[in-house]
Amino acid sequence: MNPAVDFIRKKFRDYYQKSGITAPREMEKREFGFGNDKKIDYRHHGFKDVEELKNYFVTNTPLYASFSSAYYEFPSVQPMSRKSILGADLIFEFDAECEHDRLACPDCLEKAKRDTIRLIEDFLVPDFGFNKKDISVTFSGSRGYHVYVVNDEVKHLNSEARRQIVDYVQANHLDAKSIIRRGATPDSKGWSGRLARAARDYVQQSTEKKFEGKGEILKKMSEGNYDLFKGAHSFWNKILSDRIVHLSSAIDQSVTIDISRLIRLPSTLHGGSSLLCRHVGDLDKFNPFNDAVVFYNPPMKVKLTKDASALTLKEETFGPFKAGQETSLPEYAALYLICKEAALPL
Amino acid sequence: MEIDDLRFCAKYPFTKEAKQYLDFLKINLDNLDDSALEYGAKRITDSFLDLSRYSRDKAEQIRLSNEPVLVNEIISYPVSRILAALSENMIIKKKFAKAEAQKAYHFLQFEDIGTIYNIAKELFSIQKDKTAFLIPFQQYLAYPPEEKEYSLVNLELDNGRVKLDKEKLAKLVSQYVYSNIVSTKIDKRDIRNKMFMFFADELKKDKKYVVPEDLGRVEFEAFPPCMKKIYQELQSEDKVGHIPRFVFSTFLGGIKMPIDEAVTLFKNQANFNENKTRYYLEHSYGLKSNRTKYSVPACAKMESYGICYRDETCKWKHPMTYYARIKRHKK
Repeated sequence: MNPAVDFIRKKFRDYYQKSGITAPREMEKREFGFGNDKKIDYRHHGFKDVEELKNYFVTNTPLYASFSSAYYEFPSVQPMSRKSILGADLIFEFDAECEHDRLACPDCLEKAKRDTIRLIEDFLVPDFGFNKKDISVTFSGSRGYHVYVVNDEVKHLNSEARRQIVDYVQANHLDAKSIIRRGATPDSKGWSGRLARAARDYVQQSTEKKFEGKGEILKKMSEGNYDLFKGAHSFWNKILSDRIVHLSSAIDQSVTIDISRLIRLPSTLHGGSSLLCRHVGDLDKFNPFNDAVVFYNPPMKVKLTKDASALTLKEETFGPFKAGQETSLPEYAALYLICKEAALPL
Repeated sequence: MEIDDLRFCAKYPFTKEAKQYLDFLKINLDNLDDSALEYGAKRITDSFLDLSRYSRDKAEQIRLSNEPVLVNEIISYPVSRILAALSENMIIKKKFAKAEAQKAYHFLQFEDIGTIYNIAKELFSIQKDKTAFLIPFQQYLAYPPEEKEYSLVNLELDNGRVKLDKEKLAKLVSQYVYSNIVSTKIDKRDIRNKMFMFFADELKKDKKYVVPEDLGRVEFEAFPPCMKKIYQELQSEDKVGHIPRFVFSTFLGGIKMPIDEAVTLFKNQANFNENKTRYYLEHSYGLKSNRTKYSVPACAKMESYGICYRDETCKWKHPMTYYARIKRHKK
């Protein structure tokens, strides 16, 4: 457990007292889970209304809060099978796998944001036909974004159907050769079109000898004739892996498939960062290190417990820091370091 | 009803036309005589034979038969569905469902596009365009055929609709037939004709067809690669995640490893606690709380959990099938 847990809890409590909590849709049918040591130490909680939920936060102030993507008749009953599931939102989780050893990594979060936009613009709207008003995005408060699709049509999809949806956007089990054999053209929809367009672009840019006389080859390809590529497994594998940027590593499959999972609760603070898990309106313009910082400016003193890279919050850069260093920082930067277990309050 | 219409209903007893015909005959399940129930039970036991033979025999029968036989065929379909449901035996339900699905697919393949469309539009919100059929992906995913070529990722999906050709639509209809039979639930209290229970019990007793294979003594050598890997990880002190532990427990339950023996497989874990492990195993074996016995996930699910370690020995789609086949082969 974070050694400064009491300090963090006090700060979080002040925040919840002042700002409250926004109830998720149909909150009385959701299961809630909370944690201090782990992300979820205890679950199977249910709340009648937003007032009860806020009181829980002010009284208990958990460091992490999650809620179910599923709707239940009896959300707080155990075991799971007795909760009587009524449906579930469709959720995709993008987590930035940062390997840069930074306390705050804008580059990795930016990549997660781009992937999130691609999921919506390239798959959910054109292929799955979801209405944009049914899609919303939240910043998780830490390493990524959650995409919610909420409508009655997705509510009753079973786990197997959700697995097929996530397989679709990640191109898992995609049989490129047989798709092409069906006569895909660049105008085709879905993966057929993606593959055909990638193959066309590849040939257009290629200097390989076998693609001499490109005009004729490209004309045939535009008509869905791929005779030149018959038996060329490696070509299609190359097209798929090099040319088509798909979302295979970016999405955490199990969040989409497992409808009993709990997801970070929007409008709550993340105990590992002090940033706010919040709804994102304009994803393009959203900057988590600015727009999810909710604490205040008055400076406070901290002592660094380990070396830490520089971090930029609210467009101001702090650090880098050395272990043992004592420094005065705005409260929001100090709390960020404390939640990351890189500093202790003085 | 014309003989051709009767033949249509016999081929496709799940359609609106067949149901309307049963209404017209004023068939009351409570008053069905024993011979009708016997015919229904036989339809199920016939389905345990070779699948393609079942379709072939049915095709021949429907092609050559006269009115009384066709009428029997139409009546016996709902009777068989009820009997399969009353048996409460998943093996019976699945075998019968598979045979009926195969039969429907067999007939549909010989139909023209218009006939397939008319049958399918009763079941799905389907549209016809110039060359194909368009169906909402949510409805498609309610009955997805298992084969790779029918995975959503390998189909054309545009604006929420999956594009299917005639053959794929026929397959989807047959999958609907399968799911419809498997998911049929009947409350025994609603059945007033006691002979239904008699025939359902007789089906259950038919050991030749329905008793699941006894896997006998546990053999580690027959474990599939995924379970071997989890087993090996458990032998180290590194913490093994919740999902692999749970999956492994369901597998141990599936192969009927005694709980005492199963507990010892977890003892090398740094955080091992015998009581907790025993409780956990009893839970996944279905011996605790609501007595839900958790099934071992299929390979596709293992893959989505990121714990599939397929190698060249994996020729099946389920870890339990792998274990049973390898074990039998070793005998």
